[in-house]
Amino acid sequence: MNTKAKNPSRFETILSFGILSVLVLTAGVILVRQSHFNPAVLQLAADQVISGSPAALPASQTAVALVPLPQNVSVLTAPETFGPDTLSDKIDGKAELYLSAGFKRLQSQRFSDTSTAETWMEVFIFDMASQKNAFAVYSSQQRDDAVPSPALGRYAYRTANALYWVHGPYYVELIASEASEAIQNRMQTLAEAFNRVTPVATETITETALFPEAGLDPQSITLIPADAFGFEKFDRVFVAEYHLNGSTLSAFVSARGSPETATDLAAAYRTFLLAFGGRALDDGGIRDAVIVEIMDEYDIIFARDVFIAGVHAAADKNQAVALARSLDTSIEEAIRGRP
Amino acid sequence: MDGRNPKNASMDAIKRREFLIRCAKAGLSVCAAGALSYWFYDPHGPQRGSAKQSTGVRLADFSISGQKPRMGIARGADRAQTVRQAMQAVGGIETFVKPGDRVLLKVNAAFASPPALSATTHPQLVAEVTRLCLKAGAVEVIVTDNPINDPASCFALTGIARAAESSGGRVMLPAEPFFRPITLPGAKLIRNWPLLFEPFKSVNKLIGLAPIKDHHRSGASMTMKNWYGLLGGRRNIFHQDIHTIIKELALMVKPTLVILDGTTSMVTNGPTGGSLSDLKETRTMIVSTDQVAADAYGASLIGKTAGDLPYIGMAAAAGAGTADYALLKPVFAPEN
Repeated sequence: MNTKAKNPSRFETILSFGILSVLVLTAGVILVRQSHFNPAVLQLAADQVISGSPAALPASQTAVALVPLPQNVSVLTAPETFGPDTLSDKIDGKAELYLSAGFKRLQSQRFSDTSTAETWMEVFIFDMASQKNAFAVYSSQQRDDAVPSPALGRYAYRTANALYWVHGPYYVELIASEASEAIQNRMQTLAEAFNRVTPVATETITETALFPEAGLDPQSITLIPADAFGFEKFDRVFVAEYHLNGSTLSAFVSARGSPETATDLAAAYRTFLLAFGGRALDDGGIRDAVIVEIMDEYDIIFARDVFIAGVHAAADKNQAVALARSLDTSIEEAIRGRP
Repeated sequence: MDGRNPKNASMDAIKRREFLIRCAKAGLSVCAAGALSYWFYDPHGPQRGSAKQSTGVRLADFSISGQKPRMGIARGADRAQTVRQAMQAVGGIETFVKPGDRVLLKVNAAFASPPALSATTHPQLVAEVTRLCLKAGAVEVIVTDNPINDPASCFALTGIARAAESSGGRVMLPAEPFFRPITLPGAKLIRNWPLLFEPFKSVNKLIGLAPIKDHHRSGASMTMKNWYGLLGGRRNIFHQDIHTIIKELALMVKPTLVILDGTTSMVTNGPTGGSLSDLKETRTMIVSTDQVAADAYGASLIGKTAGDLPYIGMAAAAGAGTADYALLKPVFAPEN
């Protein structure tokens, strides 16, 4: 029996040294790269992967359009996609507004108007996961000169150079580089095409119907996703503006998970106001309500079934009570009419 | 053949002693690899402000020494005219740019959005300031920014690239090798952070050109916030402490001049805006050597006070300038 181990051949030795050399070289490269770590590299790499590079599209016709394009509109840049981690790469400081409202994904793309040399437009399709979330970001950015655009849905308006609307869980902005009737018409066609090819489940935002109609400014209804009135427990709060007897008042309503949580939240909000110098007054003749005077203004809070509702920062107590009663009646009717 | 596997036969050839030696060697190799891994392992990860980190580059002081802070204000809708007038009110461009100078214009090209939306520095302003610098004898004018969106698209669609190049300037787009780490002494946030440094290498004058914009996080974006565009990396983390980062930027960058364009200001839905109805004609151009004072004045154009914007007070308290712009005795150019 041969008991001596066989020596490796010359070929095996060379091969082994070759493999070891490659490993040492790899380790060296890793060490050198690690010692020159630069967060900007990660930034650029992430952009390239997630956002694409619009400017790298010399023949933009090669890019796919996110939306069916009408006549005289063509693709200008490739679509871009952003998630919660990269949203600020597109909209910078406004990202927090969307993130706090449940943002999932943004797709955007630029189109050019082929009938003019310079005009272009950009579509921003924000997937907000639910219609309520979409309504939150839609309502909190409404423009003063908004003109309702019912062809795009109940929550839709246009300004001189842009269209804004809610379509199911999507909040969509279509913004042109200039204002003209021609570009408005093209944007309207493009927006209607988006709605047509994007089927969504029908959802109803029930809270908006709870606000009594007398004196209501329907365009003012806003959904505050978080920290309403500076109270951190107050989320998903609908606020509406009223013009009554020459005064402007704000009413609010929010649906909670159960009557108990609504009652508890009403009590917590009352405590919050009192902790900041508020003074509890009477109930104004509204069952289980409380009126809090704070900094020469009046807040009225009450809970009804799963709803917490009231009036916020009213200058006149009597007008605030009148509006709160009206709101209470409207909510009671809605509760009674519920199947 | 005895029916045994040849491989087993070679195993049989190893003596017990040699087997144990080989096992010991293998065990030592495993231990060595483990020890090496343990030596490399850092349970805390990279620490901000760690003594091991490089302090990297430092930005030069581009302000003109020996001058009192100045502010010039002009009113009107024509940016080319108002910037000339406001510049004249602070002594003329020749006071700040000398023959042979190399000038860096830090614009706000953050978004690939059209000039009409006033979310970025207006191309007319870029063109006129470039011309003024060259007319004063500058041998080179570089225009730069590290935008939020794709740089090439931003400079093209904002009209800034065309404006700069048609006026004799040179656009420098950010690229990976242009960033170098910088640490602002005593800073909480700017520590070993990548800075767009390459454009600064060859210049001796720095002018910031910023629009006035509402800003969802900071309240308003003006000349101090404009330096944010010099940062690289995942700078969006600074949004959680936006006032501190703006203060630190104001301490880090000492410009020759800042120009705050309040011709059309974005008063709502900033910093992106989007609708023309987010804008207000405020018809004001501000030129100042004091960026804090410029921002304090700019705030008043969008219905805010310096007190509404915490970073102004913080920057003033840290010594970056004065929040009381009246102390500069602003010179108002006569309105045409």
